[in-house]
Amino acid sequence: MAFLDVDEIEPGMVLKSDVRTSKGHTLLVAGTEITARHIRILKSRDIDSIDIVGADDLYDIQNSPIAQILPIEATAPISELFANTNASHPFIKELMRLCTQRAIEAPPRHDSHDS
Amino acid sequence: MTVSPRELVTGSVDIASLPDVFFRVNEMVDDPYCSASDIGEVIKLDAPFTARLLRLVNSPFFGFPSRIDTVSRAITVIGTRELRDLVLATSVIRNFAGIPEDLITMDHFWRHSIYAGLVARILATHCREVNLERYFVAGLLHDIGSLLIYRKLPELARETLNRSNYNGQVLHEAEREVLGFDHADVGGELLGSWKLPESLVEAIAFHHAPERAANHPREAAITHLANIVVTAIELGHRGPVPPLAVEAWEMTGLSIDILEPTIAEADAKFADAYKMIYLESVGKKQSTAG
Repeated sequence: MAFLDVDEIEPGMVLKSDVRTSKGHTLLVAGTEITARHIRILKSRDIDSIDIVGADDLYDIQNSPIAQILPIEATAPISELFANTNASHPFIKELMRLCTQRAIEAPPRHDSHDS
Repeated sequence: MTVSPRELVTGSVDIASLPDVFFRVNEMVDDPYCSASDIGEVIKLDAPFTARLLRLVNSPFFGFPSRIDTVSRAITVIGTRELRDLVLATSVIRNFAGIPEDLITMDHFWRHSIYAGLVARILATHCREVNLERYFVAGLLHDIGSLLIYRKLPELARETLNRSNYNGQVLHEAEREVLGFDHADVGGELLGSWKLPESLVEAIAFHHAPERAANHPREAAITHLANIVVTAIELGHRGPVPPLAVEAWEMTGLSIDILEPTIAEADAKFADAYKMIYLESVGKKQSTAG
């Protein structure tokens, strides 16, 4: 889990789990790319932290779909992965979205060692 | 610079040279007076190669409905150019099978390469290109220069890999700083020494700078995009995603909507391609890879 303070949220970050209001209504769904407007809405609803993909959690991609294709031992945050490329270009944005989706779709790991 | 890409290639005759059958087939493919059966006669002289070729064309990757038992039939169904490309791919993988794996395992290297080949081929299909197999081969061989660098300059190679894996530097930029050239330069030099078509040489030599491809910019552009896709899909295992040459994407005229189905198709084809291209080439039994 990687809950970040709303003050630390920046446009382009991706939600890892749904954001609900205090009454339980779903405000934003997992996978949404955060925009400046979303941040204003979150603040206006007094939501102070949300679950963000790739903020400080490293993806556990050992069990992800990619692991069936490539033997991944390393893990890396998506934002770092795309730090050297043209992150604002539509092609790269779409690629980031697909990578994020793959990481999200990774089944949670149920290992015994829970440290 | 301690050594040039050319010196790296000429100093690696043991792994950088291909079997005779490849060169003979390569010449015959471009010779209008050579028929498919002429080429078949040459291939048949190399019995182990013939056996491997027939296993490849009968693999699920090609998915032909009936069994192909002869070389001439194989050439008829897959075509002479595709056959040349297949000969090339399997020869190259065998050549490099013995290099030390302390920097990168050959299995992982060829997984990256085969996936890139699939993506390049699928992108080329969307672009309505012809002779699609050359795109597969361009993707398959795009990083081949790296293997020479690992082999001949292991300490400097380790430095470049560390910079890429732990310091977030794009690999080919780290290579340019550390070595004075990158793996694309070496790859282009190597493929040139094999007298491969210029389109393939440019696709490999300029896969990080497709705008420099003087005569075959489309091949270089598609290889460039395929490498970016596979580096992203590997989620950092090969270092950060390199910068996109925007004009390469614009040249394809494609919509970004094709990316998702492209990756899905590459995923779906990967297992068969890996078995056929890698496991068959190195003669491994197909046991665990699913």
